[in-house]
Amino acid sequence: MLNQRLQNLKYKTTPYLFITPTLIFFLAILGFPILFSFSVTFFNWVGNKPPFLEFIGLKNYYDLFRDINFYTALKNTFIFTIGTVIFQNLIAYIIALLFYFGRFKFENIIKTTVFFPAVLAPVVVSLVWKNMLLSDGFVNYFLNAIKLGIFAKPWLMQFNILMWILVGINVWQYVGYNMIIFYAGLQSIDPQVIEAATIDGAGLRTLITRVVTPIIKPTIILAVILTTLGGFKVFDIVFIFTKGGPIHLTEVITTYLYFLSFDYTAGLSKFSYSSTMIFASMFIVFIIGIIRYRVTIRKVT
Amino acid sequence: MFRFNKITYILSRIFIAVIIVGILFPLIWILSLSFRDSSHIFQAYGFIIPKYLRPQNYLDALNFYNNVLEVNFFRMFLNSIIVTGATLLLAISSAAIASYAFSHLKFILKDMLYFLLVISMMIPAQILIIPLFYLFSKIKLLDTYLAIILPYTALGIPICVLILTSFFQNIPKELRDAAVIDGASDFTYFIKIVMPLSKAALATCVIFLFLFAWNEFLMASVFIKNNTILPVPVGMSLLKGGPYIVPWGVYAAAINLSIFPVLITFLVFQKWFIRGVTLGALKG
Repeated sequence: MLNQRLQNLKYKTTPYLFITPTLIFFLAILGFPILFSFSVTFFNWVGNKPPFLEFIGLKNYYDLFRDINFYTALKNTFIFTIGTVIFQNLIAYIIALLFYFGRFKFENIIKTTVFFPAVLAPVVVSLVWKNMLLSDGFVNYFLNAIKLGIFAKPWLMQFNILMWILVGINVWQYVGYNMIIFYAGLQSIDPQVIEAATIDGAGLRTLITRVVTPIIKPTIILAVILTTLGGFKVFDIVFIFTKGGPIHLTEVITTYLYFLSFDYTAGLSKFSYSSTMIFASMFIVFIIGIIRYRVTIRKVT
Repeated sequence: MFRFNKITYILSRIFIAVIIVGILFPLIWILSLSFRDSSHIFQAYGFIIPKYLRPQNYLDALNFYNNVLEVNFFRMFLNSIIVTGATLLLAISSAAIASYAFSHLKFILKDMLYFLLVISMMIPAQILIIPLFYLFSKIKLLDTYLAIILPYTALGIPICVLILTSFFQNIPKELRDAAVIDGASDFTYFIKIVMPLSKAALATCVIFLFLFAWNEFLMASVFIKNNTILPVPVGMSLLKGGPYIVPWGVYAAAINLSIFPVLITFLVFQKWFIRGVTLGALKG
């Protein structure tokens, strides 16, 4: 009888034991820091002094909304994210569609090749492209060689279009990744659906716009969400190219965070102010997400 | 089955050819550059295959790291292997056993916990940096492997839980009931039956975590300043900037030294990489 009870107790406690490691990591390294980080936004915490000494209410938020660099960072992050979301998914989708309908020879080798840059570190990819884009680098050399020398530029100095150049590099790196995602979505379509549509006389365009795309819409939404999240996190590529400079022109949220808190040459260590910036920008992204969601819902209904 | 007409057929081939060249060219260029003398960068000295090969660049790159940056290149790889390996081990073991609980067992707040885990995937890593920096400096973890292993694990667990739970749910519950009636504990059942059945899903987790932990840069560069335990991406970032002028050939050689091991890993496990991303997409 007692044995039976012990046995029961064992089975009842098992689930809690099983989730303990995950829970510890979750609470200690995700949950606690987020709450901590949010609370320090109401304090003045700079440098080595401990947090929660000087309560300043909403002053951090007030300062932030008057900080012109924050707007630049926000704008650049949005340019990067939107550019990446559009181009990466569009090109990846076109490639995936071509593979799906086109029956290529060496299909697997091509897919593997296009996918390969996605396994490299973004830092390394940035270093590769930084070399290519030097004013005496390969890109300009190539433009001269094909008699388009007038377009040759000192690319690394084009700060007004730099975000778009970085978008291009990011697309170069991850287009294969999204292509694989889309291709997986396409392959899950029942071939009979395509066949039926073809028999009914659907051309390629109709097949793509009316048949295939609506079916794999969930996959497309997933890819858009993944690229949006990735775009918002961008750091490596901007850091390698410009570190956010000159005079904060090419700053994104993360590089500005780095500058405010961890750049030893700047030596600011504005910990609570940077936390405020992250929360504010997350909030803005969240609001935009909700608005977009509402708009799509309205369109659908 | 649908067929392209002639024009679409030709255009599609051209398009894919352009894509392949566009993807491969920068990598080939860096390979070619790594064998060049810095005065022989351009085509007068061979467009792709340089006229005068200079393998010395690779030794120079290693020496540059050793002498100027005071980072041993191979040590850097060892660091990355340690960090990635520990992350894989910790994240997958914690996530797998939790996923078993989520998919097979009943406990209070289960749905809420699962929901929290899933939405925590949306959290951008930058939000963790300041609090973790403070926390780690208090408990003297800065400049140790753990300073990045712990956050990598915590950020890796949610996606693994998502993948593994949806996989474990397909294992019939009757199997577990039978095992329990025969007197097996949940842990035995999990280790002996569930894990061996889930190799594909586990491989997917390995791929995701590997790509994340091997390439992560922001946290690594903030939490680790000690040159002896730098992981590869941080070490590579030292190449640019700084007061020293690195000849382009040496620069390219260093980049290639960091790419080769990844390339070989990728070629050996390419099927798993592609399958991992595919599976991840379908489950997500």
